[in-house]
Amino acid sequence: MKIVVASGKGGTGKTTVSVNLALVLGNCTLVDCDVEEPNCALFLGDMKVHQDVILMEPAFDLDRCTYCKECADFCHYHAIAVIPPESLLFFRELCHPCGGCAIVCQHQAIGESPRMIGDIRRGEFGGVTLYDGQLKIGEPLAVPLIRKLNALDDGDGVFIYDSPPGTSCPVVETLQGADYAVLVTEPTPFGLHDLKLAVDVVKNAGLPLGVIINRDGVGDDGVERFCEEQDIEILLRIPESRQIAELYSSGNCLVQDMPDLARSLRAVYTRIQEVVG
Amino acid sequence: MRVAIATDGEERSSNVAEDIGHAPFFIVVDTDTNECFSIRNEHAGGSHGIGMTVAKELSSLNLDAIIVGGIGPHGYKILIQAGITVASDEEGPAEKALEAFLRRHG
Repeated sequence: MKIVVASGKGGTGKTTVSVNLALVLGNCTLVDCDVEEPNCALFLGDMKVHQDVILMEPAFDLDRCTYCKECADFCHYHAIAVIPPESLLFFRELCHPCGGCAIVCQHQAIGESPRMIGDIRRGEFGGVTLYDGQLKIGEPLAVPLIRKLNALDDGDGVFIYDSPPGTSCPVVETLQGADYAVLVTEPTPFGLHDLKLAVDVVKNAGLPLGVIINRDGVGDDGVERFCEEQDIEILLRIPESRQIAELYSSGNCLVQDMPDLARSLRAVYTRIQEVVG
Repeated sequence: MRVAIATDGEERSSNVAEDIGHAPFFIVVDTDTNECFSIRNEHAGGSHGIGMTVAKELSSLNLDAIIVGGIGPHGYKILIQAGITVASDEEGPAEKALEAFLRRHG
């Protein structure tokens, strides 16, 4: 079973929910897909590098190149520009390494060369195995690294995926293969605005979803009304609480000190099991 | 010198366009003979990488220079690689921008 914890807006509590849900379940795998700033490990402990993540990018042999433009015309991301009479530019930051340019080249002028874009780390914390991805600074593409993290789900046991924020490609990739999406929001107009976008993405992916309202008690009732109108289940309301803020800001998990929350998160998982069937 | 000016209209009095990719027209002027013609930008309504598409096409027009309001980093590199001088941040009527350009580069 793969549960993705996502949101639209950043900073609503995805990691708090993911880490604490993993801890109450025990015997599960937690995967931090926010590869531009993975932070689950901050709450759990030391990680070791598990594997390097390599991309194959095109390498051009200009002795063979006839500057025919086939590759440049093929590339929808405009990563290759052929300028007459004999000049070729490769924009690495635009390349979504699909390998298509090497296939369309009639002159064997395009090969592939490896580029390390980041790594995957692993740690064991009681029954919870945590993996996270770290994208190298300056690397533009998070999706290939998230795809590697997705491949960790071998279908055996419970996998909790902590998604990056937003609703763009990295989130869509994280949702691949999921059985259920938990959307964490805060009950404010900002939270609601981005929740609506996230709900659209999850519905497009054809996944069942439920909402966790974090910092319940602040803001307004917009999220509650939206969920009622859209017939979206509210799985849990985590109250605005100084105790949570203090535990979080000192890098601690919540469930050891908050048995009520632990029980509630266990109930959330039971509910997800019922829905997924 | 052959200079292209990205413009909002087909006249030499038309304003310089704000963006190379979305410029509706390019007016190409031969500054030695003062002959000129305009090209409609078929890509003006496009998105994603449109500046680069346009820069690639302009790079095959045997130009010496291009005058434009704005241009992205990739389109700029393509034009520079093609040996074309790029005058960006230009605005106002195309002919005035061309005169000013020629005073600097004449």
